[in-house]
Amino acid sequence: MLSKLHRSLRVMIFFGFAMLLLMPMMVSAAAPSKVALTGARVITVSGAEIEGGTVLIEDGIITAVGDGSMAIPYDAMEVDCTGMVVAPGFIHPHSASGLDIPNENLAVAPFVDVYDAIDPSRFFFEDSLRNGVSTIHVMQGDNCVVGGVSRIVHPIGLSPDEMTRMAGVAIKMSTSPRRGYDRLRQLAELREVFAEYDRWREDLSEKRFEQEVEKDEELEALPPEEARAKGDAMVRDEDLDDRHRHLAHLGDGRLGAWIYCGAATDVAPALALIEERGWKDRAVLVLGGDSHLAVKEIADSGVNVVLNEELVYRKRDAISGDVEETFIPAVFRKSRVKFALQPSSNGSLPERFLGYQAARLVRAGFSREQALRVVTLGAAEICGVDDRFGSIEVGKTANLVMWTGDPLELTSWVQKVWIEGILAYDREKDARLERLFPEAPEPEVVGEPLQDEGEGEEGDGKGDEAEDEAGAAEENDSNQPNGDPEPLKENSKPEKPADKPADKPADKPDDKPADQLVGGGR
Amino acid sequence: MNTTNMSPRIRQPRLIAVVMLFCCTTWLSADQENSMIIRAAAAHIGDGNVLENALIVIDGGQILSITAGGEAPEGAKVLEVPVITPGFIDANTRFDVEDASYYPGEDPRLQILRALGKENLYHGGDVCPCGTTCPAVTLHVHDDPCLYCGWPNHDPHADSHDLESELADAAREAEAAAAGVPESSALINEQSSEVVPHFEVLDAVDQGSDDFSRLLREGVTTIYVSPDSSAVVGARGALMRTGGTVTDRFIGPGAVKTVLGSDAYRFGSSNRPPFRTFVSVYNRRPASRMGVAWVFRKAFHDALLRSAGHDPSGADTSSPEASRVLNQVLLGQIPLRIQARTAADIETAFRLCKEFNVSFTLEDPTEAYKTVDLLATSKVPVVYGPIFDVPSGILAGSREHRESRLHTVRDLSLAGIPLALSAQDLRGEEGLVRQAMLAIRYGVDPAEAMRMVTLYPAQLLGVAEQVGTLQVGKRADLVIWNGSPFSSLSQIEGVIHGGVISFERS
Repeated sequence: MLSKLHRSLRVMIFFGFAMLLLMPMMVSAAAPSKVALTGARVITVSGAEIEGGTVLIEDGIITAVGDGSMAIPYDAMEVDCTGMVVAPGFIHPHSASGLDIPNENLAVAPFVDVYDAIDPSRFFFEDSLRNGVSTIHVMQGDNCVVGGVSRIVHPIGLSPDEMTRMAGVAIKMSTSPRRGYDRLRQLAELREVFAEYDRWREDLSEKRFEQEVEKDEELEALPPEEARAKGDAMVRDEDLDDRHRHLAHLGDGRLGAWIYCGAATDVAPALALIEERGWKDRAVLVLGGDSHLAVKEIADSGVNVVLNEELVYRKRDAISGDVEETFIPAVFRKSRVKFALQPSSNGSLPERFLGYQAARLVRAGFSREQALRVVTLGAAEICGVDDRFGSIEVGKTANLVMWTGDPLELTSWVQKVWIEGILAYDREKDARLERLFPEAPEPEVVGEPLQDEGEGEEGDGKGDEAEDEAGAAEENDSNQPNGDPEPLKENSKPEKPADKPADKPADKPDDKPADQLVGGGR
Repeated sequence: MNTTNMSPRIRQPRLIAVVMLFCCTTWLSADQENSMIIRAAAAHIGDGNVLENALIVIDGGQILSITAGGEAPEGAKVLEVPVITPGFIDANTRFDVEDASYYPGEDPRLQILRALGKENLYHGGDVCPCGTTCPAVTLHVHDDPCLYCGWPNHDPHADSHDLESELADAAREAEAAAAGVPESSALINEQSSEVVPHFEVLDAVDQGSDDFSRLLREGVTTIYVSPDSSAVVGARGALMRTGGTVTDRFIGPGAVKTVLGSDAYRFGSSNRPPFRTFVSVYNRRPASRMGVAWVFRKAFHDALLRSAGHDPSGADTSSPEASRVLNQVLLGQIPLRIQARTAADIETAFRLCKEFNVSFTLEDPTEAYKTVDLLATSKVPVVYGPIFDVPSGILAGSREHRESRLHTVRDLSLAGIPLALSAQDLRGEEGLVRQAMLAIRYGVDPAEAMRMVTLYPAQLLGVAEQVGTLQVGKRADLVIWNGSPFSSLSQIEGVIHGGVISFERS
């Protein structure tokens, strides 16, 4: 009996696994090869907005963008987006939230890859879709000396392989001390990583040159100095060992250098390192704390930056106690430093929306176009993927979000998200959102809920209203000899909003019927 | 039935008082001190209505008139603004949570002296100019030398006090008091009691805190400072203004705050018997919701017993001072607030208040969406907020927030419950105006969201005649916006408090 049960269980498990494996294939098989989104206000980011525009997607790529007059292929599935806004999906430029644990235990671990830590089942990915983020740069956390290699992923898929769109994007480093250590040790370790790499590289180059000399008769043996210089170009990928492979890629330009600076004081060592190692064209500073104070140095170096979700820096003067608030993006804009924004990963509710973060830029004087560009194409440029993502242009990946309104307004909702032309999110079918925020039962009944306020109170039949009323009357008399000068009458009923706002409202609360007392729950 | 007939009689003197007050203020304001004329492209009244092209005349810190399309007098200086709203009211502020604990501000006594124009009398707080530490917390003035050290007529070498002998004296006195027959209030000392309604949170408010100006910058002009939730029957709150001089900020004491649920036994770790004796049924502190409800009940029973001339007995007997205040609560003279977050706690609140036939205000009902019908039929005033799915700020410390829902505000609003929105300790992007923004996102009508931070809290706090809406005779607390209020793209450009521009974005 038991074994039979076991067997059937095993069959079921096998079947379940088979289904699980088949699911993505089923999804992609079901996706039509041609999709046309019509009638929407199309925010292209790269160009002008199109009212009543059409976006044609073929095999996950945008193949045509035009106005309502554009011809739609007969075999395209047409999605009517009338009244909606279609915009490119937001790009999250720097996220450790997709990883099971954001940091490796080892301070120096350039050999690891976030590939092994991406957990596709994490709520973060689901929530990203819900908030209109279609492309995520998953990167190790900031608590490291030299961290692992990052990758660009889509927030859909059942495995890291399915999610990955670009592997090996950048290496994470930090000039801010790891938790529990100081800056001396941090910078010493950082320097030692590259000093050790250089020594290893020289040895390898010399060895390679000697190998080539043995093979090639035209080459002649050279003194070590020259052999190293010549041999450097002879190093092949298969010569690199695990420990140094990513550092070599960092050196030859295949990987970007993203350096975390948690304070202004950490910016100078980071810039010096970038200068010394020649990473200028592919370096990005991930900033925190008061790093914006080093804006001049950053601007001079021409390096791009990624800001954290805390866009306002509050500094308290140690002597006067005055608090000075600085809106950090405005500082970088003034110095013409290109920056990207991050949504908050937990905590503050509005800051979790990248659209809201962009709206804060508008408040500080950015134009709406600039603000939207920062969270789409601008972030793509900083991640080095602007040829594929970040705008609605012919030839780009069809990562599109259908909004119910302006993406910068918090009243707008993400209605649908297409990733590579596949419908990846539909608000109508969002079960978790339905649980947290179900549809209103009667959406037309809003406002003015106090119509029958005066009569609507519960009676409790107790005879101490006179005292209540007397107490309430006394409350207004601040000169009463004893008892509390009581300005509050929390439990009295709010009066009906005045019909004529310009007039003084009638003094209502005392007109209550005698047998009705607030509260009591009877 | 008698009371129906009585109410007009009561109302009459009130009306007269209001009219007189109004006349007085207009008469007094001849000096044009807090006076200005504002023209707003759109003025949100606060009751849900919007006046286009409104002309607002402010005189003596009050709104003298507000008219749509009115003409300003010739030659008068008119402040042109795009959008104006009333100053916002937070009916459940957790005040200065961050700043007070991390960055002590300026000595509040100095600020009070400065406001009184007697800054030169400040002698450095606790440290006397003579160099000794002065424990007196009263203000020193020239004519009255410090009672403790004699400053300023104080010669440290001639009559320096012997601190050691004085401390020994104090210890002897304390011993003598402890040796006597302990009164029923023996259990009451500061934080070792669960029943402290005779305390006032005002005494703990850092008057010099930067939180005042921060709230003001964020458009919140009136706050109700609610005590913490570590005692079952806690202190009384305080109604305050965020602007103006320090001496002018306190409006009045508020409701007695009571707590149902886990906060009272989770955060009150010091609420143990004196001297940490064994815990028994006779001296226990609440360790569960049952215990919390028991302490609540016992406190009110003690009050009833005392009012009937009996002497309450047993463990956890509350002090006579506490009973005096609770008796006023029972008579409806002092409002009662109950913090009840889970649905079960909300129902307990109703049950307990039914027992004692006392009305209350519900504070922070996270799971109110489960008890919408109960709240709607009982018409209990509700202070709700902040809106969250994952708690942050001080809320993150409680386990009572796991069942929060984003639609709670909408559901309560659709059921006709005029709730007041609150941000508690949250500021900035989660502050009160952003809570209204979130309420709109999560289904609340924009006009209703406006009322939730203006009219409703004013009514709930009983100050609707002074603040809350832009109406004639009310205090001129105004917020200037650069666009539609509560839009994520708009921000506050200025705040007028009592007719004075208190904040202007540079």
